[in-house]
Amino acid sequence: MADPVNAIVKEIPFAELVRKAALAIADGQTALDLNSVQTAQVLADMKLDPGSVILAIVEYTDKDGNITKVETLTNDKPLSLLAYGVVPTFYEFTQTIIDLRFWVRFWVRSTHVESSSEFNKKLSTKWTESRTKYGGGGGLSLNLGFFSVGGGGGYKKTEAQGSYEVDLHVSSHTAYDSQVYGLDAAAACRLTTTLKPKPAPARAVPQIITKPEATPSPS
Amino acid sequence: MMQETYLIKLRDNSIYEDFAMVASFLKRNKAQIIMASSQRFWIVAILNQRLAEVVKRLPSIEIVGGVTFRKREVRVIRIQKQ
Repeated sequence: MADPVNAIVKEIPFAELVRKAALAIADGQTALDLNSVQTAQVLADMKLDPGSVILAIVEYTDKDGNITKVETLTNDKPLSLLAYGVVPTFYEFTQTIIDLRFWVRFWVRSTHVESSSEFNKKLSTKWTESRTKYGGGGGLSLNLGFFSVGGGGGYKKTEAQGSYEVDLHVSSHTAYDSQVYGLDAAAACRLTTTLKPKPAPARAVPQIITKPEATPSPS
Repeated sequence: MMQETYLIKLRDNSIYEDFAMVASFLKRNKAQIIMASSQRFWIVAILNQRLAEVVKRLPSIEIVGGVTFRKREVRVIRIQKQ
């Protein structure tokens, strides 16, 4: 009989499993990148109100360099969060371990059953039968001392007896053998990955430089 | 569990109660809200990845994405009076 365990191990598609695991990682990376790009779009659409972001501080000084007045320059138009400096985080799988495990178990279960039994019984029966039959006449009885008239009676008795004896002996014997063959095969694929934030790819998020429109002139 | 900064944006058809529910959920789960707009329904908060996954599945959420604050300088313009 060929070794069934070896046959099963030969049929396991190791290369296919590794390929699928690697593709799963690639799909995960794509999903992460798409989420980051969507986040960038949302950040570009989300606006901060005019006057809510300080872009620059203007200090007015006298001839000696003492600060006489301080003003702040704020955004005069709605400013997107992307322009404000909030950028999406990009992620990458820095390390991936593909761990494939297989368990194959071949087993044989043998059963031997043997049983015997004996039964002995002595049966005896005794019987006795007795029958009595009564019979007689009827009439009137008259007793006048010297003269009597009347009827008489009689009976018949029959008896019989006997006995039987039987010896009962029963014996049985049963024996059988059985063998059950089994094969268990299980496989598990585990991916251990490390996800790390990384800088946005070049040109993925635009570099936005905010400049005040005009520098106030000294009064 | 690593803490990260996330942008949480609610759907456009959300109402104020949805925003309040999400903000309350974040506070209850010890997230740190650092920016929020109750008119435009977005929140920037620091939370862990597991909580981010839970927030992503809330019905009123449009997107949950990791964000980073770029270094930003406020320039000082000095003007000398003549």
